[in-house]
Amino acid sequence: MVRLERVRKSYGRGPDAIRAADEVTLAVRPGEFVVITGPSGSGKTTLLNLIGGMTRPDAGTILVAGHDLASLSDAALSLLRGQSIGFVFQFSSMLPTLTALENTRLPLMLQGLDDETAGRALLDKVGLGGREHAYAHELSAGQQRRVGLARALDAGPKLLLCDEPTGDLDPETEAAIMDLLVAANHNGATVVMTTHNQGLRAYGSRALNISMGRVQDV
Amino acid sequence: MSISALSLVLSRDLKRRPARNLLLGLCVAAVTGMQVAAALLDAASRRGLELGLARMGADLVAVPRGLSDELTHSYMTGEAALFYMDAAVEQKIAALPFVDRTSPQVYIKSLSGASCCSAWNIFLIGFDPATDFTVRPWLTAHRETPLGPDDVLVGAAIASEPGTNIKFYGRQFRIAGTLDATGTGLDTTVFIPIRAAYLMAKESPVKAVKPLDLPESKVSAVMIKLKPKSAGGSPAYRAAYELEMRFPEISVIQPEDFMVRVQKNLAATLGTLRSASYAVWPVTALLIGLVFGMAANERRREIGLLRAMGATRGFVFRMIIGGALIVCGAGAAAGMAAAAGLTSAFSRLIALKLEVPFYWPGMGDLAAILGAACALALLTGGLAALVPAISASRMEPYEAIRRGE
Repeated sequence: MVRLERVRKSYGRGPDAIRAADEVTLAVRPGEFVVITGPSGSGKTTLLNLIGGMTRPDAGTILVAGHDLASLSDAALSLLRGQSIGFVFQFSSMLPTLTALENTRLPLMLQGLDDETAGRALLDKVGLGGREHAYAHELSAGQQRRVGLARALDAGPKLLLCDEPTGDLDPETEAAIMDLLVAANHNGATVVMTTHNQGLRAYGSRALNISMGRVQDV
Repeated sequence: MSISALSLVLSRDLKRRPARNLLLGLCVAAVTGMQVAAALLDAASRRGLELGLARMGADLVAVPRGLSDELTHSYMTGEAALFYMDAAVEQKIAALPFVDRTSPQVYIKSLSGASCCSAWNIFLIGFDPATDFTVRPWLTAHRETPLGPDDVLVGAAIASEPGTNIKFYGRQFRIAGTLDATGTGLDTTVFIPIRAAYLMAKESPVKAVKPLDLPESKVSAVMIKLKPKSAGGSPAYRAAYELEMRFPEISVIQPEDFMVRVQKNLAATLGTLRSASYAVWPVTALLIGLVFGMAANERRREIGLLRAMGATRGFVFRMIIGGALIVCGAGAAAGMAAAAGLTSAFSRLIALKLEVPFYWPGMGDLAAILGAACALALLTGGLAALVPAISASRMEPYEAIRRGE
C-alpha cells in the first residue's frame, strides 16, 4: 500500500537544518495497522504528510497505492488524496464555518459526489448522531476529533493517516477513537498512525519507532 | 466538478465576515454607482438632445439679437422665454433664396396664482398650424386631423388627457393631442394656435387677472427650413451667417448650439462623477486585494485541510476569486440599482438644475451601460484577488497547515 525508498526531508539550510525524514525506507502492506511512536519533533507528522503527498520529499521515492507521488500532477495527487487517503489530524480539523455533517460530507462533495445519508451514518458511527448541525465551537475537543475521523472515512479511503489522533484527549475518548480506528482497519483500511503514547502500540499490527527522522522497527 | 462543495464553502465564508464584505461591497457600489450615474446622465442627455433637436425640426431658429441663450434655456428647462421681435422679419427671411419654409412662433408664460389659468407658470408656444413643420409631426396620434381654432397640443409630461379643456388668460382651449416625449422642457409646454394666442392676448384685459401684452405685429422666433442644398454642415453655417449679417435685429440658433450648451452644462457634473469614481476605483481594488490577501492568510490552515481532503489548486483559486467576484458583483448590483433608481427618481430635478434634456436611454443602451459597469466591477475584483488566489493555491498543503496553526 505504501512504500518509501530512502526518503529525505529537511527544514532549513546549512548546519541548522532539521532532518525530519532521514533516509526513511518503509513498506506498509494493505490491511496493516502500523503504529509509529516517537517524541515530539522526531518527524512523525512530516512522515505522514510525505506519505499523504501533502509535502514533497527532498530525495527518495514514495509509492502510494501503486502511484509514484513524484510523477503525479497536482490534480492527480488531489484525486488520490480525495479518493484513497483519509487524514486524521492531531488538532481539531473542522472547518469552522461548516456544521459537523457538512464537514463530514466535504471529501465526497469535493469529488462531485455527495451522500448525506452516508454522512449521517458516519456521524452516528462516531457517536455524534443528533449533533449533525453543530459547529466546531459547539462541540468539545473530543467531539471535534470524532468529526475529523468521520470526515476522514467519508470517501471510503484505502489508507488512513492518523497524526496523534488521541493527543490531549481524556482516556475514555482516546479509547473510543482507537476503537473506531481499529474498526476502520477491520473494514479494510490500511492505517498508519503516529503517537507519542507508547501505550497505543497495542492497537496496531506493527509498531515502529521514529527518532531524529529515522524509522526503526520496535 | 465539486461545484456544490465550492458554493458551500464560498457561501459560508462570505457569511463569516459580513461587516468586512459589506464594507467592500459598499466601496464597489459607490464606484459602480458613480460610473453608472455619469454614464446614464450622459446617455439620457444625449438621447434627450437627439429627440429635442429632431423635435425642433428646423435647420435654423431666428430670435431677437442676443437672446439665443434664453431660447436654449427654455427648450432645456421648460421655463418660458419672453422676448419678441417684429413679425415682418419672417417675410424677409422667407424671401431669401436658400430658405425653403418659415413658420413663426410666439412665446408666452401662463400667469401664476391666477384663476384665469388652469396651469401656472407654463411655457405656452403659439405656432401657426398653416405653416408649421416643427410641432404637429410629433403628435402621438391623429397627426392629420385638422386643429380647431382653440385646439392645443401638449407636451408628454402634461398630465391632461386629449379632449379635456384647459384655460389660459381666461380663454378656453381644448387639448387635441399629446406630443411625443423628448426629455426636454418641451415636454411641459403647451402649443397654442398663433391666432388663438393673439386673440387670447386681445381679450386678456377683460378675461384675465392680468393682461397679456402681445400685439399681432410681434413674434418671438421664426423656425427656418433651408433648401436641401443649404441644409446641414457648412452650407447651414453660411446661411446662418448670412441671416445675421443681413438682419442685425436677429440671432440665429443652429442645432449645434444646443449640443454645445448641453455639453457645457454637463461637463462639470460628469467630470466630478467620473473623477471621483476614478479616484476611488484603485483604492477599492487595493482594498479588495489586501482584504482577500489577509483572508487567505488567515485561512491557510483551512486551505491546507481542504487540500488534504482532495481539493485541487484550482478549487482554492476559484474559492478566493469567487469570493471577490461575489462581493464585487453584489456591490456592483447595489451600486447600479441605486444609481439607476436615484437618476430615474430625480431626472426632472437633474434636468432642471443642469439645464440638460433627460430622456431615459433605450434598453440596448441601458444594458450596455449596466453590463460595462458590472464587467468592470467583476474585472476589478478578479484582478485584485488574483495575487492572493495564486499565492494560496500554490502553497503546499502541509506548509499551509503548519503556517496556519
